[in-house]
Amino acid sequence: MTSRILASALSAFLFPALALGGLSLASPEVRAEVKSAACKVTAFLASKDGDGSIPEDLKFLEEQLRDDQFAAFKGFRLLEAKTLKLGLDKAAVAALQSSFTLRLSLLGEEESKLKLHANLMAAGRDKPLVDTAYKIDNNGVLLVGGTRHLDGKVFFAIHCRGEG
Amino acid sequence: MTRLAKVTEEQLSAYFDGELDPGERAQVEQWLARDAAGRATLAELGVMRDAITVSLDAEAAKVPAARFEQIWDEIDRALDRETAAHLPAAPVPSLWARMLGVLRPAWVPVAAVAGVAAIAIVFVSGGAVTPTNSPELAASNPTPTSPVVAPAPALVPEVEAVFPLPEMYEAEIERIEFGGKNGRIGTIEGKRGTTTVIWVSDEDAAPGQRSL
Repeated sequence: MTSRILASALSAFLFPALALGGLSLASPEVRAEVKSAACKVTAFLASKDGDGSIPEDLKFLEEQLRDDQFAAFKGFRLLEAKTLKLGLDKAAVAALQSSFTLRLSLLGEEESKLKLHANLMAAGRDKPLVDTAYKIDNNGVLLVGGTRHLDGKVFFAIHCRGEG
Repeated sequence: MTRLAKVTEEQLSAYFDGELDPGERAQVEQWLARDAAGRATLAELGVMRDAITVSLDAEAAKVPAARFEQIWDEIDRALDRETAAHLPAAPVPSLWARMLGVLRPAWVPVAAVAGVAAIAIVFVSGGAVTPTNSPELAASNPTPTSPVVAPAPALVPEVEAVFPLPEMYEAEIERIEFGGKNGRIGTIEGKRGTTTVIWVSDEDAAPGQRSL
C-alpha cells in the first residue's frame, strides 16, 4: 500500500517536473523570436599594392582574405567600422565616409536564422550596387564588394547578431 | 645500372642535367656513342623528367599567378622575421627615460594644470594650508577636510559596441539585384566555416544578368 502511495506521489509530482526540466534542457533552440539585431559593418579596401599582411582590425577575416579569391590583392586596409541597431522592419542606414551607403533591415527570423535586407548604394548612382535579401545564422558574416574605390576595391563585411 | 663501368650513374645524371665541365662531357659522350645500354638509361631519364614536368605544370596551372605572388610575399615575411629574430635587441631604456618620453609632449600643459590645481587647493581650503613637511607636524594637525572636487568628465574616446568574433556561416541569398552592374555570388570554404561573398563588378551587365 505504502509503495503504491509513494509511486503515485512520485508520478504526480516528479514526473511532470522531470518532463518540464527535460523539455527545457532538450530544446535550447527554443527562444523568443528575434526583435532586433545589432550589426557591425566593416568597410575595407583591398588593393594590389602591399606586403600581403592583414592588419589587426581585419584579422577576423584573415582566412577569407588569404583565400585564392582574394589572391589578386596584396594590401588590405580598414576604411571604417560602424555599428547599427536594427528593429524589425526598421531600416538603419550606415552612411560611410567612403561615399557608400548601406541600408540594412531586419526582416525577421526564419529557421533560427536572421533574415536581412541589405541595400548598398554608391554616391552618384541612382541604382543600388547590390540589393539583396538573405538569411544567415546568428553572428554570421556576409561579404559584399569588389567595386573600384580609391586605389583598390572596396568590400563590406556585414556581421549581425539577433537580440530577443 | 651497375653495367656502367667507366661512367658512373652520378656522372650520367650530371651529364643529363648539363652540369659537367667540357672535358667530362666529351668523355661521357664518347662512352655513350659506344654503349647502347647507357643511351637507353639516358633516354629513361628523359622520359622520367618529362612525366614529372607535365604533372607539376598541370598542378601549377590550377593556382592563379597572384597566389604565387602571395606565397612569395609570405616567404619574404618569414625570412624578414627570421632575420629580425637574429638581430641584437636594442637596450631597454630606463624607467625614467620612458616616463620622460611619455610625458614630453604634454610636459607644459601638465605642469600648468598641476600649478592651477595647487593654487585652487590653497584657495578652497581657506588659505589654512600649513606646510607639513614633517610627519609629526602633519599628524598633530587636524585632518583638513578634503576639498570636494567634481570629477572631470572622462575624456574617453568613443568606443564601438563590443561584438563577439563572428562565426563563418553560409548565407542563403533569397533575392539579389545588381542595379545594372554585373555580379556573382561566391563562397569561401575555410577552417571556421563557409563565408558567402557577393562580388560586385564594375562592368555593366548584359540584359538578363541583373538579378537572381
